[in-house]
Amino acid sequence: MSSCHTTPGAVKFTPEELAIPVSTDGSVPRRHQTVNVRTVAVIGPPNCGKSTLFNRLTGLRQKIGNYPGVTVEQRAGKLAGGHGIKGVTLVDLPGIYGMTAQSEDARVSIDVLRGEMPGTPQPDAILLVLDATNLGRHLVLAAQVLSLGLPTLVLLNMKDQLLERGGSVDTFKLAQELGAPVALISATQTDGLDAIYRFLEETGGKREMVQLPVLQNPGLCRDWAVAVGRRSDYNAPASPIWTRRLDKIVLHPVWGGVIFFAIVMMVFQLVFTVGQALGDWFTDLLERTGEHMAVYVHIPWLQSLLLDGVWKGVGSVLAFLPQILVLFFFIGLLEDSGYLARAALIADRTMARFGLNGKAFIPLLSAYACAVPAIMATRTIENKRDRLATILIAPFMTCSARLPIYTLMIAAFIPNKAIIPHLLGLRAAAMIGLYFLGFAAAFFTAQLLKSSVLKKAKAPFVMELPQYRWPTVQSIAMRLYDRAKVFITRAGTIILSVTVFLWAMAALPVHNGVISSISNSWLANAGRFFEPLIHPLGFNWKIGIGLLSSLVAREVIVGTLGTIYASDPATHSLSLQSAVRGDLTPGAAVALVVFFAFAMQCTSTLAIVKRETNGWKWPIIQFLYMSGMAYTAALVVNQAYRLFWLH
Amino acid sequence: MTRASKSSAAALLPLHKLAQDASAVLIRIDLGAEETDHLGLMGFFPGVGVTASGKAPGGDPRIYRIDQSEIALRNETARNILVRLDEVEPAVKAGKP
Repeated sequence: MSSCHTTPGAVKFTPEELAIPVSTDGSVPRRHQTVNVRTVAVIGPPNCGKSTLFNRLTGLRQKIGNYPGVTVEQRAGKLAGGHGIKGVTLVDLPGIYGMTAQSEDARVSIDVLRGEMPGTPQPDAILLVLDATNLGRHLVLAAQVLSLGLPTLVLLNMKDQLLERGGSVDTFKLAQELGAPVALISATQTDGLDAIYRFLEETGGKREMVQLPVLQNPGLCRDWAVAVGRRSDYNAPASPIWTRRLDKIVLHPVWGGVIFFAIVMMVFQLVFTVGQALGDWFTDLLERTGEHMAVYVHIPWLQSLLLDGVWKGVGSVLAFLPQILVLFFFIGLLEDSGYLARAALIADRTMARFGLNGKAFIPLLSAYACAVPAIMATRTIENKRDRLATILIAPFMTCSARLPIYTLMIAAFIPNKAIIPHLLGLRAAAMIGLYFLGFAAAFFTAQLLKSSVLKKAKAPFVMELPQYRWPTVQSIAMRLYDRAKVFITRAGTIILSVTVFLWAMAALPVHNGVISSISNSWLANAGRFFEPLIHPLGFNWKIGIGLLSSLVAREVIVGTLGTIYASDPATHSLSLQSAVRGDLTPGAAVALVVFFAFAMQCTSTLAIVKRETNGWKWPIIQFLYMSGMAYTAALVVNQAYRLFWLH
Repeated sequence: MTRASKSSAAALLPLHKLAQDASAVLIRIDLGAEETDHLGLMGFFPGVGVTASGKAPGGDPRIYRIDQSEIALRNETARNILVRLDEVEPAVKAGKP
């Protein structure tokens, strides 16, 4: 091939090596085992079915973490047993189109494959997953991966779709061309996976490479891939007719928008109703279980620690779990079916006006339920700066945890009058206004970020639209399992320690073996200490304690205020609404809800931001920015009220 | 002789002006090295055949087919990609300017 050159690292294949390819039925000939395979990397382009294959091969034996120093998720799992292969770890590397470090994901994949990622051993072998229905373009990646010289099994996935749509390929000829065994598989139908076990069982030492194209020249790589495909009798399958038909509907100039809004509203509604209902039921269950357990603990302070500290701390985290699972169930359905990419396409034009891209739409929508799953959902955004901007603005969207304090303050201060009879009341309008306030703050911050710290030459919005497919139960179940595990283990540990700390502050000091009432506790002292700081906002020390306790989670303030006013003889007989109305001016009440609209009072969110950005830098900046904005806005509101309404 | 040189007589057209279902040969990408490399990974480089296969309801971004892949690009990016109408396919028609 005249257009191809042997790269510095590329060398010729020996005749013996060329004799090992699999046959067209996907079988792998036996070879002498010379390498003890311990770590196997699974690599391939996005949407090639790589993760489906990884899930098939590992089942629940997965461990999710972050690669050190980067935000890229590390997924590793032990190969499922039953095939006589033991102790093999599969590493699911981020999907990439090529081995040039265009993104952090690609950098990680390259470093892992080259053995240059600290703390991660170089793989002994590679499973290279390619989409058999789109081989022409994906062979370019094959050239780059094979040039590494590691034992590699090339897996042409989606065999079922290739054959259904009249495509074909001679895997024996392709194996000869690539100098590596090739198997045609269908990961969703577990068809052809035996080839993988035999490859791992029998793979040899590091083999030499075939002559490959100049990898830095995409044109030459492309020519090489076309020639290899032709010599391998590759017949591309017919265009996926159902995908074309469905796209005509979902991207229709009129109906496309209608369908988009219908789906979005349905997901939003279900997350909000079903997720919220499940969350309430779950919280109730936890509370009742806690009360039952309390019977068996007779030491008061220990009972308080276990029930109010540990159990309620755990409960405040677990209460979000149903919403997270409902949300990720729908995101899974939308993503695996291929619609999420179309939704991002439809939303892109609007999001672009705020310096974001279309893929930020779903996470921001999710943030109306809860910022925690929303921030986890930003993983669908490949561009690092766009993803970070989305993470930083998501907590401004009006999450369900803000509703208890909004509802309390609106009921306490806004009369139940109609603006438009039977359609819109004053209280509903106030609630809509608070939703809009959060939305405006989010997009103001997005523009601020994209014109300052996250400013960069625009990255092109390039998005591959996958074919429509039926989501598989296993894929959705694995996604839910992953998210639940990550959420509980990471956010749970941090929030648990914070709630226990706050419990201790609210219970100490101990007098004669009896813990303090909240009004005499160190937490109350802290509230009084901070009172001068919050006095200009119109808040007293009781609201101060509420604000301190709501640092754990926003909704905690309502319970805290309930406890404080109930323990105060002056307000003991009043309802919480009446007690609050007596303690705050209307200006201070508005200042309080404005404070809640902007402030970052959610340790779960901070913990997730820390996890997703792999450090404390961004959660600290986010906390300070949101707190500063909340304080300033509340100050302006209260002082304006004092200046213009009272005089 | 490449596909591009066969149709050298035809005028160059920004990619976003390519009419729905029309095909063309990519001639040149007038973007920075980083963006050009990024597009190259997705299959956009000189000599490759491109078909305008769809668009978002508002007309931006548009979807282009390269081989079996459907790839969406914003018009602000596509206007810097110059194509020449593919004379091999007689059904091709130019988009309105």
